Amino acid sequence: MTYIVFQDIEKYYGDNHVLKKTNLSIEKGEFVTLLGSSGCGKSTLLRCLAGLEQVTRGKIFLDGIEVTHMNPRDRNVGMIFQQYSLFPNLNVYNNIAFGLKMKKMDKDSIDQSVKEAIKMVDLTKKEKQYPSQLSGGEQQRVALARCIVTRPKVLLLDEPLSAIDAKLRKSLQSQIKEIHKELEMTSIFVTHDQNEAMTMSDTIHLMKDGVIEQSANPFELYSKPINNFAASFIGNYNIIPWKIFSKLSNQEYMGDKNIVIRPEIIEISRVEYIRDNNHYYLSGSIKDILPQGNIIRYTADVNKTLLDIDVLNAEAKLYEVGEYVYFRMKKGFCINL
Amino acid sequence: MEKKRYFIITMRLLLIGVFVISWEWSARKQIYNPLFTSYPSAIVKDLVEFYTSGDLIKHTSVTLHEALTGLLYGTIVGVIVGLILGQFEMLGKILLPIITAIHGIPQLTLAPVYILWFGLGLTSKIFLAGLMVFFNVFFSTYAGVRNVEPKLIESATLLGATKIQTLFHIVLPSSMPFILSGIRVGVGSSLVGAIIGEYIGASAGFGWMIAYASSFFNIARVMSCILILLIVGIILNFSLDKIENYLLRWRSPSNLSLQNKKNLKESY
Repeated sequence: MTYIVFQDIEKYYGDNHVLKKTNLSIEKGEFVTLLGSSGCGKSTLLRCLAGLEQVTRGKIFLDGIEVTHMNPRDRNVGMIFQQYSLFPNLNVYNNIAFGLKMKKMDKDSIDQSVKEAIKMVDLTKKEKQYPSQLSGGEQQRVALARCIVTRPKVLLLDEPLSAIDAKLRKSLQSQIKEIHKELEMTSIFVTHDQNEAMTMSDTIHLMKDGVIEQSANPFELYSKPINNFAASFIGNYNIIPWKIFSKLSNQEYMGDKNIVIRPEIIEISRVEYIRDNNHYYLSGSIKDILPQGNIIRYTADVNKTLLDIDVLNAEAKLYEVGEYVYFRMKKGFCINL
Repeated sequence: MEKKRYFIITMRLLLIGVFVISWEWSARKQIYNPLFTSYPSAIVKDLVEFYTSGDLIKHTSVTLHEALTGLLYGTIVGVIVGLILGQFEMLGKILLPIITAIHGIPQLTLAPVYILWFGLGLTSKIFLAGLMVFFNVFFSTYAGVRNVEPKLIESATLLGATKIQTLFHIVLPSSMPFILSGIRVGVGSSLVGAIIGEYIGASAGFGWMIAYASSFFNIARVMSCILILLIVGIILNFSLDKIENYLLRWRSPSNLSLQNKKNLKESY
């Protein structure tokens, strides 16, 4: 049976229609990401599951029980916020123990569970410190421990890493993943960062204006976006109307569609390619060069249409601005949308 | 750091010393009429007499009793009402303008009414002091409760806390910095309230003593009373500092008191 079900969820804030008949199913133990730009309704959906917002219409089921109108404290849902939201007057130990104390568990089992959780998030020796004495990353780890220690039915993560610097974010990402694996805790992660969504998730649900546009695993979502929005949000696709592309590449006009080309499938050369039937061919001059660490992004001017090309930063041949070069790309890797 | 601290303290004492000596000197040289300000040696002499006659203890205890009892009641009621109005938005919307309006009335003008209601004894002064403290503590508690980060309350709810548990474990401690700053202002108000009450109608206390002594142009006695009140104020603020440092040990202390250098160091 499906573990979490959102059924025709509608949510209005005044006149603002935030969720539009949203349907979503999540299996037990899954790590799911809601991905979308800010204001697309992803956090609202999460807050509806937690009970912090009431849905206008629709039903929510959690573990076979309808929770649509249930009091949030009875839902047994754990939630982590972007702002950490630790209790400032309690030290690390008491922050983590809070949920168990509220449930009136006995002291020894609280102590055991808290120590276990502290170990899991690597905060031993910090038990007695107050949140104001911890770094952002440490605070978020306390928040994580505070949630998992109560063994919630589902762990909700509302952009938990957005306020943390890039390097630390990577290590926290893997820590969250590890904990998810260890506890097999169903988790819903909300983010606007497609890279983060790719690294973390079993399934990504891409949202736009309160509607789920595409649900797929990270590989499929990246290589097979089902519409222009998905293509433009995930990765840096070149999206070119066929009307223009057919002229540039001497191809037959494919109708009122766009061709969608990932920058890393484009090959680049100083010499003209020998033509075959498996590739599209273009040529143009280099307009801009952006080194991005492991890859170099070239922007080329192909008869006034801009084309992004990603080349691994391992090759000795570097191109210069203004240089005239040739491109080819496998037809099978291009998508028509 | 240590050196700088000693320098500051030395300079402070020196400044006070210079002030006291020039006061004494100018009064003795009759540079102005000392009848209006008295002078340090006369004040010390009066203080000794004030003490040996037993009056000092008597009046101090009366005024302190009124002020501290007022402070206690005013604080308790202020915190409770602040918490309730902060929790129930509708109630807050209904009552807040009324309380603000009452607060707008200068309490001094109402003091004679309270004496009429509660008599010349301690009760009327305690009431006046308590009322003045109440307003300070109420407004700061209310602001504190309204300022609690909503996500903290959401977190507590999701962790299974009931409304009452959230109130005592989260809302109250998070508002504590606000409440304490209200009480800090309240300490001053409670003394003012007690003394105003004594000015208007009493048979003991500093307010009564000051009014009585100034009517006989006994300025040395007035100054003695003021000096005692100054010391009382310092002691109360110092104790409040200690309480604040304990209750707010999870954050850095405020900078309102003489003690602070040390406190800051201890907390880091």
